[in-house]
Amino acid sequence: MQKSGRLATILGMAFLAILVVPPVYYMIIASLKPRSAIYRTPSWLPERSSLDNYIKVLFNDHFLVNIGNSLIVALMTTLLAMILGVLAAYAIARFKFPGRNVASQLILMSYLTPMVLLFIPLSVVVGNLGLADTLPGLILVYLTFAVPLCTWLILGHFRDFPVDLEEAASIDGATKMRTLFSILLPVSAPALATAASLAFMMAWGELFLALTFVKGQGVMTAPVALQHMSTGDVQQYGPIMAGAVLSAIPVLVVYYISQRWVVQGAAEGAFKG
Amino acid sequence: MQANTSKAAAPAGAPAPAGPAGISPRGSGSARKPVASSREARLGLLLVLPAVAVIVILIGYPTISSIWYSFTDRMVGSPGRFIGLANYARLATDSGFLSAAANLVLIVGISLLLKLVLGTLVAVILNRPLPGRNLWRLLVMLPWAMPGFVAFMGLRLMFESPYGAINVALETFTSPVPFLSDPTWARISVVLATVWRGFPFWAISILAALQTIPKELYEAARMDGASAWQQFVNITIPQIRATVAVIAVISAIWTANGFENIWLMTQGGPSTTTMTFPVLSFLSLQSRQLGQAAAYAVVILPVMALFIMLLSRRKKEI
Repeated sequence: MQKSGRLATILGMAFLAILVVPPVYYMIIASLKPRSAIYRTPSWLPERSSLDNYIKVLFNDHFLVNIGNSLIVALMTTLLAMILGVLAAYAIARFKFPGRNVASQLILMSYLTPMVLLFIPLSVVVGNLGLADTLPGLILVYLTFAVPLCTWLILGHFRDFPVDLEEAASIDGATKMRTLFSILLPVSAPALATAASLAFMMAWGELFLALTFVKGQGVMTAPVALQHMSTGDVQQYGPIMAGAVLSAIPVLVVYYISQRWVVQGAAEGAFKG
Repeated sequence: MQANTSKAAAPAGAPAPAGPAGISPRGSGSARKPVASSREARLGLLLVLPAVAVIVILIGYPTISSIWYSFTDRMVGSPGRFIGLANYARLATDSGFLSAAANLVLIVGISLLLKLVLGTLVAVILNRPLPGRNLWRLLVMLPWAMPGFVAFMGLRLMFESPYGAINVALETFTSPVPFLSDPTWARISVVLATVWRGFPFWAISILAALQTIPKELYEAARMDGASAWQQFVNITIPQIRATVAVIAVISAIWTANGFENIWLMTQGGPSTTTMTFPVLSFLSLQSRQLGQAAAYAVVILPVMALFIMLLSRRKKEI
């Protein structure tokens, strides 16, 4: 019994490792290989490794600018969506006003609206606003997924949180806004971290809208820049994989720090898979 | 929390005789009174307004525009005229559209099934007392946690022929398999990549559901002599069914709308064998055909609406 249990555990661990590790491992190996090794003598072991691909992608291809753009876009999207999301969630969870239910329904529906339906008219709108091919234009467009996402997650948390503390504060004379900032927000830190991390992760990795809305070398985000490298006739896999590994790092750091909450938050209806 | 009423506004929630600080004479009963309701309503509307404005301007208006565009021959730079259902009529003979419709069923259906099987299996493994279980959970989430484009660029390299990782691993047994250039293999590759990226979430969600199942159920079943398989079929499956239904619908929505997986692996090819609606729409926009691009997007709206209806019904059950 004991023995078969241990065997099952070992088999289970082997299965998990085989399932997850190979693509990640191969990507990292490829990013360390010289160009010829990827195509001519492909292998699962790094025979000669160097950081040449990293140096090439970082210093020759505007990639630092692209990573910087991704950072600006993801941070600004997250910040704006969190501000709008917190205010809207607070209003819906705690205030009685006409249209409250409509607003809450609207937010769920808009979270599930397929982006493919929106991006064509949005390209016209963004063009008319004079924001075509600019980072503010892309940030504006990213609010389409980030605002419903943040509002929905924060709303769920505010609704679950008992109102007693806030009522005590209001009896003590605190204004509604003061109650929000000094009572509700501090106790909601995990939910806020979840919403912010998911918004950041989604904005950082977004490709579809970015391909449509930013085309110039100077405004491209990292995913766009890398997909441009990968759609040429000759695949520059070394630098592409180096760029991919570099682009994954910020998101993995965010994920690692917030994973305790993110997984649960995502389970509440906000994930891609 | 010290009361500090510097603002003139009396707290909307506080009834007229607000007790002195520190004393809260009322229980957790309703502190809201109709007296304050109009001010409360105004503040509420004000707070919700920015988010609603974003939704109406950036989601509501474009949705209606898309539907309108789909009835016109609008191009980039020309407003176009109303042409009725002509964009839709063209779909019946459009190989891209027919492929996308078939793939919607095929790619979404098969990848959901595989994600379900793999997700359940991984959840069951993670639910066992593994040494370093938290680290394993973190590892299993890696495909989901890394950015989508990184995952699919890496997977593309796995499937390349002849020098991709899978062919390198296979080379002692067989000649290189054309994973991305053969129609059938391209579909298989796309499905496998989609499953790899998506299974962790199923696994973690199912794991969460597994952990809510009362242990007594299994103990009772063991007393009755049920085998591990019988326990799985008669206890585990019924207990996680509701969770799985919700994940399935949401996952279907996201898979149907997925772009990176197809674009980075095959761009819808070879020819149109891995085409999906988002890729189709993106390609039409690139060829500046706004009306036709909108029709590709609008035509799956009923399917999406169905998914969303299923979801909102399921959400209530949980």
